[in-house]
Amino acid sequence: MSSSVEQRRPSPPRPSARPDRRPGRPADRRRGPRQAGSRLAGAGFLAPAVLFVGALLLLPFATTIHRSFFDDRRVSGFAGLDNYTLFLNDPTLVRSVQNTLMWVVGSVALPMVLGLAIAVLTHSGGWSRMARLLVVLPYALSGSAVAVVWNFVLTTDGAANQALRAFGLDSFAQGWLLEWPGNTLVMIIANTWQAAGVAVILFLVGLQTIPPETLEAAALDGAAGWRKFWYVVLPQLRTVSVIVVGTSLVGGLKSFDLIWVLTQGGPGRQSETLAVSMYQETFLALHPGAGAAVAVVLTAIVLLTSWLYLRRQLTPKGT
Amino acid sequence: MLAGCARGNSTAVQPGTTSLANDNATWDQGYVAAGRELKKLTGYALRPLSNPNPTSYKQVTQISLQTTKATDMIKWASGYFLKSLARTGELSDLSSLWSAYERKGWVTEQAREPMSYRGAVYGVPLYESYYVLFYNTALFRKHGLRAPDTWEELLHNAEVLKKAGVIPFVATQTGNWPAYEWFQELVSKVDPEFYGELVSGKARYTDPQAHQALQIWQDFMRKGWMTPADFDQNNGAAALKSGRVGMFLHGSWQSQGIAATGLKPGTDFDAFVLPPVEASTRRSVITESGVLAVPRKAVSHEAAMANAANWLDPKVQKVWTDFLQDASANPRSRPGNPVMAGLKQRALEERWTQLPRYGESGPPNLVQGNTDDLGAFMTGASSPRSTLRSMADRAAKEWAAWERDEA
Amino acid sequence: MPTLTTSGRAPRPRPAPGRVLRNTVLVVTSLIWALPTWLLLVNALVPAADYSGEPHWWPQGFGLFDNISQAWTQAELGPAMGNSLLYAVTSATAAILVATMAAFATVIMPVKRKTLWFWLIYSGTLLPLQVFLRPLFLAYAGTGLYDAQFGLFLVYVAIAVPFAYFIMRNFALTLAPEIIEAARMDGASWWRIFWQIHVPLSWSAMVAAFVFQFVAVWNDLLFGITLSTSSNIRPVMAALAELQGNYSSVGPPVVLGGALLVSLPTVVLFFSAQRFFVSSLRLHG
Repeated sequence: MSSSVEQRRPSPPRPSARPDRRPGRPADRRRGPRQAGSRLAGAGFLAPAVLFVGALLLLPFATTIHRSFFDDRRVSGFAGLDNYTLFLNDPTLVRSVQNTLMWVVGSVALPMVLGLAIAVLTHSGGWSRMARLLVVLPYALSGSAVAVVWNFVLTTDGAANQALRAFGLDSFAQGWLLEWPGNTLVMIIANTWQAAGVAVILFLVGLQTIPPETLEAAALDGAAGWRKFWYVVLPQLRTVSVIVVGTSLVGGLKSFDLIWVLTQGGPGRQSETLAVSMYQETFLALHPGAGAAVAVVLTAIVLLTSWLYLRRQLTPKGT
Repeated sequence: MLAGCARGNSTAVQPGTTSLANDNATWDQGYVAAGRELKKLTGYALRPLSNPNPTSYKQVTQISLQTTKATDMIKWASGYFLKSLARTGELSDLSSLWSAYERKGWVTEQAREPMSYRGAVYGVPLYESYYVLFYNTALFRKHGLRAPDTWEELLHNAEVLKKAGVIPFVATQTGNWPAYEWFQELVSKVDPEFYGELVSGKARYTDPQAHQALQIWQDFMRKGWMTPADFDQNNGAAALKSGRVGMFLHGSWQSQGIAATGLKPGTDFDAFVLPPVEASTRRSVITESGVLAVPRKAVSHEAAMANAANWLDPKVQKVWTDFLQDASANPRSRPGNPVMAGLKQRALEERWTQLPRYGESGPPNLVQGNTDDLGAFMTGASSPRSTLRSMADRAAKEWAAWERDEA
Repeated sequence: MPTLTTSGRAPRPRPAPGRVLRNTVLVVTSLIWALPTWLLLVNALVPAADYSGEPHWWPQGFGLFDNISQAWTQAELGPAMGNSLLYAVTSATAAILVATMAAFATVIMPVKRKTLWFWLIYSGTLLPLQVFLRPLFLAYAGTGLYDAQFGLFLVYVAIAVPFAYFIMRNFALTLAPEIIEAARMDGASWWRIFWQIHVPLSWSAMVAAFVFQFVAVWNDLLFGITLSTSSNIRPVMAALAELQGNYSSVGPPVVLGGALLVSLPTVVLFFSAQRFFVSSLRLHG
């Protein structure tokens, strides 16, 4: 990215061209004499973000953790870990965990592969820009438009079945949203339809950061086609891939919106994910304690997964 | 920066009005019109504040009752939803006001229980809808059918329509709660008394009457008499108009939506209440009434009480039900909608048993869970027997929890 | 990949089979992708009274403007769109700035316990949003932030910061440290380095992050309906939800017309941000 900006902006000093540049470098090797002042300045730079997140997100979450240790009787009493035992004996939550896993796999793999492919295929501009627009457009659509459209497509009287019948494939026509695990799978596809745009954009931004010298050097070495993509382009997209995977991981684990508008987790709570279960328990079944426990477990899973994935990626390669 | 930002104009106190929190913005104009009538009687108009999402509305209202941000009046659901809210102690006791209504003959005896908790009244009925089957009169005429008065006639209609390529009944679990619409109809039409006992926790879901109801339902589904379980009821009016479905079971408030497609009530479309399965069984109708309640910490408490005391005045109800195209809880108020006027009159004359809707007739989490079970039943994922067993287990558990909390 | 194979400046004598394959794949994918969008457009065109309850595949009549104007007046979309524009622009801008500062601090500046700070800020995006509703409502009702524009602004900034920080931090890692080192040697203050070097270098990532956060705030329904109730505070999705609640009487074409209309600003934003996503510099330059 820096290289692209530098071409247009002469003001910042231009770095020496480094065709073999790695995407970054450990930051803490820079130690100047004015460290104390820098620390103070650092605190100043950090404070707004920490305050916003701490006061408006982490603090409310702390009250949720607290709530999860109390039962759901009218006069709520301390219940220890009782709310958490739901995960052991409630079949709905077991199904919910299964669905959440499907969502995670689906929403990491599909946008990653499709997003990368479309970004690379349409990077050159020209008419392919149109194709890219078609893929990115759904991301800009409002949630209610997406809900109405996918209802059109997926209900038994809907467009998908109409199309199948028109091609004589009547036997494939079915109630897409009515049976598990099909309903979860089609909703993951619908979600990909809307969400892949983010990955496309991020990969496009990432492609900009590849210095042209790198590609030219590779071309001189005789690398072409797939080989060049695999050994030269892909490694340069590592930073972006971390963002795409990191966010899809979190997005997949927290899947809620589309499920809520298409099935509300039904029929019979079969298409629920953990986020939907939490909402169900807290706001519909009026079990705020159980809901809080689901929220805490969900958050713990998201944190753990993200940590496992990101702890290696957080620092640039080679450190 | 704070000064430069706008604050909500409807949460501020406005003299001469009482605010009314509700979950349906499309009724705003009706509230305003009824408020104009109320103002003549009490000096206070209505100022509707709506939240478009019912779940969010419930949550926000429950929390706000504990704060000083309580609105003057709230719209709520009757039965156990109202009881749950009343037992928090955050609602005003409206018993004396109810007695005044009784003296004027503006409320029926049956209406009191769903509005009460431990003997005291906490709500005034906002409206009173029936669960009915709407039909397209032109379609019925075309196939030589009429509104069925007996179970046999109903089956005959369904057979004829099915042969003609029309899906006889709308049935769906989309949106979750509609899954219990056919359950409450069929159980109450098999045995209305049993339905009353079932929903109050005295009878069991595994009893033969409930089993018979689910058998009938399954039979209807197998014959292809019912729409797919993911039918969107929002399309119901259009489907009725175009003749794709024959009979649309829903609350009578749906009348407004059907009229919006251009069909005229009483001439282009009409409605009937499902006849009992056995001719000897007493006729019954499922009713639904919303509730107006007054929070204890209402900002303009006196004004809100005055408006609650005059809500059922026929002059107010006339304007209100004309807007809703539905019926009033006041038996002296005749609905403007000919479809509803006819049904209401017949129900009163023939003394039909009025039964509360399933959704409000038990602890909210029991209803929620059992509705999910019925949704699974509708997709064929569970048999009548296993569905009822699961419902019975939950009923035992949740009634025990409710009683424990009462103690 | 294929794009890059064509990067050589030498003229190609015949179309490579890879290129044909590439074009076919692209055309098929984008057509499949466009199908739901097509259904959306076609059905928003259907005059509301002609809608039969089943989706249409081909345009029938032209009721788009009627549908949109009905949605516009019924749901009072005008003021609601104004509100959302205000929230989306101000809170996305504020969040990007706050996030870029934090990224600058944790990547470039010699701050201690970088990992801790990273997780503290990033964890904001890991929490399910529905968790915040109840505690935030109580806090807002107690502090006068309930049903106020400033209250919504604050919460939108807070939910936007973690993800924006994640993007900005990762891009900051790709910047060459030499520039900063040189500037420090010249005695520039951190403040100056941030504004005059870091921000210009991070520009396109900031734009991308802004677009994402703008879309997120614009599409928010949850906080809009929980933390506000007056129509002069309501964001646009809350207004649209009212229309959808009225679905059965206005019909899907009107809802779709409204949904299309409120999607316009984000679509326009994408168009205008395009040039930031696609480099002006060709890989095969």
